[in-house]
Amino acid sequence: MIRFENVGLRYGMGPEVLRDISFQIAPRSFQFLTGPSGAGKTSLLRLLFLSMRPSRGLISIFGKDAVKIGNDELPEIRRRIGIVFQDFRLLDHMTTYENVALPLRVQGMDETRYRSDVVELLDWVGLGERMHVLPPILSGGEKQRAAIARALIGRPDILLADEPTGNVDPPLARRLLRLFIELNKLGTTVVIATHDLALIDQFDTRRFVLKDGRLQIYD
Amino acid sequence: MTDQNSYPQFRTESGAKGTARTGLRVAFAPVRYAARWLAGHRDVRQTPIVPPQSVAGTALVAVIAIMSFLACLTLAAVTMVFEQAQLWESDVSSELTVQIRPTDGVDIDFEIERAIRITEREPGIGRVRAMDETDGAALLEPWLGAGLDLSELPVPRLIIVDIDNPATLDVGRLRANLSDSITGVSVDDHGIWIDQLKRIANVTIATGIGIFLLVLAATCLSVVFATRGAMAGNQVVISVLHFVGALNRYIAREFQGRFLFIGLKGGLIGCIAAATFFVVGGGLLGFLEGPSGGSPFQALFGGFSLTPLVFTGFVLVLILVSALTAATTRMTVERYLATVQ
Ligand SMILES: Nc1ncnc2c1ncn2[C@@H]1O[C@H](COP(=O)(O)OP(=O)(O)OP(=O)(O)O)[C@@H](O)[C@H]1O
Ligand SMILES: [Mg+2]
Repeated sequence: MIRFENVGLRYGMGPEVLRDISFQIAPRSFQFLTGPSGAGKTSLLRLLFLSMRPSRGLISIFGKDAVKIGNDELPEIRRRIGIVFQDFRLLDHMTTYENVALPLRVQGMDETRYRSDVVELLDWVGLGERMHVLPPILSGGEKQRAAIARALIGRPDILLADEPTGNVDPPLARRLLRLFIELNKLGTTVVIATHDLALIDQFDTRRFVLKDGRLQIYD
Repeated sequence: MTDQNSYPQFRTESGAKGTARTGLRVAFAPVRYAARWLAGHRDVRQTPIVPPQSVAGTALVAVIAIMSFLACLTLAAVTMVFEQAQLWESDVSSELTVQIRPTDGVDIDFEIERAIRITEREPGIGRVRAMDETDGAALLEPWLGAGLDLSELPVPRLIIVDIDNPATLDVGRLRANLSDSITGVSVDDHGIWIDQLKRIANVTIATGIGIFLLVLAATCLSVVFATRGAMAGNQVVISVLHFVGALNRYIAREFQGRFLFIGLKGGLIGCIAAATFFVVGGGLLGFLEGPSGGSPFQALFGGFSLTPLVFTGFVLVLILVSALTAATTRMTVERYLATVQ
């Protein structure tokens, strides 16, 4: 589904943040991406999400060479990828419900067609009561769950999550992770970036560890 | 931007304060919905994706209102001058004047009779009548005073010639025939005077069109600046729209809907102001001039009133300004989006 070959990345004229990264992500797989702060987890997710192009190497996503994907094809591919950003990026002037519904709304879908799906998903992540609240008054954990719901509403083939448990207490973090695992069982490929080693030790899954710009894989 | 202490359900859309502003918002709500609908949003009740308060709306509405007002006035002036020039054209072809200067030892009344007969023989001529002395005295009264005996003065006498068919009339031949047999005769078809007026009218029209185009260009430029500002202020929104898979076309439409509303609102205010200016100004001018009229202003512009043609022009300005605003925004947004991804 996704293949990296000798990928390197640098910002501007700076040093290489990622060096010689090679891996494959199979459909329906589940993996953690860890490493110390500043190791390049977010940068790697940016490459996966096609919001940056690698300085060198080859990236293939859904069987397509990332370098050859034109700006007109990008939206189509992004609709197949759900992403949760470290800083959530919810739109503050729209309600939680509208934020979560956004991926369907931009596809030109009629609200009557997706309303019940969105409400159901909000209930599932425990935000049913907070549906009509604006993001600025949500708690950190609630924002996080809203961001996750937004990433999931379009039924993506792959979910990328950057520190999805960064703002929540351990019990909620475990609950969120179980949510991701459940999702994976339903067929979604999942990549979760986190530096919370205590958390991922509770789960026995594949791990990508970034250190000094290099990647080690523990299956 | 968001008031942290108020419960969001009860927050008004923009957090507008004061009943006057809320009233205006309500008054313009149909325009807002129409703009979003025109821009391609079929569900106009949804929260706009581009936050309204992130667009420098009020300032741009004011600029567009002023520009539309000026565009309306220029267009109206051009239309009026054009209509008036058309009138002169038909006036000139309906009448000409033959003038005979008295010469010593010649019976002026006899000469007038002969001139009338010669003129009547020409093709295309209608009624021909001499102005008698009292008519002449009436013409000169404002300058020379009443109770004047013109026979004592060498005042030229006039023959008014109505033209039936300007196509068959040859003014040159008439002039030649008359001066062959009558001394001191001249034919005035008002040509020089009309030519000059027409030239003034043409220059006025050209200048007006130039100003009109400049005003539109300035409007577009302000919209470009405002759009760029809005894009810069909405980078988060744009990046979110990108990563949820929105097409650039969709993002452009979101901005376009907002700016179309601003264009419509500004255009409406400007055009209504211009129409009011015309109705009030026309009344005021008529009042100042009194019933007789006839000022130089009227000579150039004709009546100063909101004719159907002028009104149509205003509606066209409104449509043009809003369409230009939306199109300019779309182009600016698309050019900007092509550079980011
Ligand atoms: N936009 C950018 N321009 C320049 N350098 C950047 C940029 N983004 C990240 N970096 C640098 O790249 C390196 C990796 O950053 P990145 O955000 O990928 O780390 P991370 O593993 O996600 O860290 P954290 O766990 O704190 O989120 C850092 O040294 C950072 O300073
Ligand atoms: Mg990071």
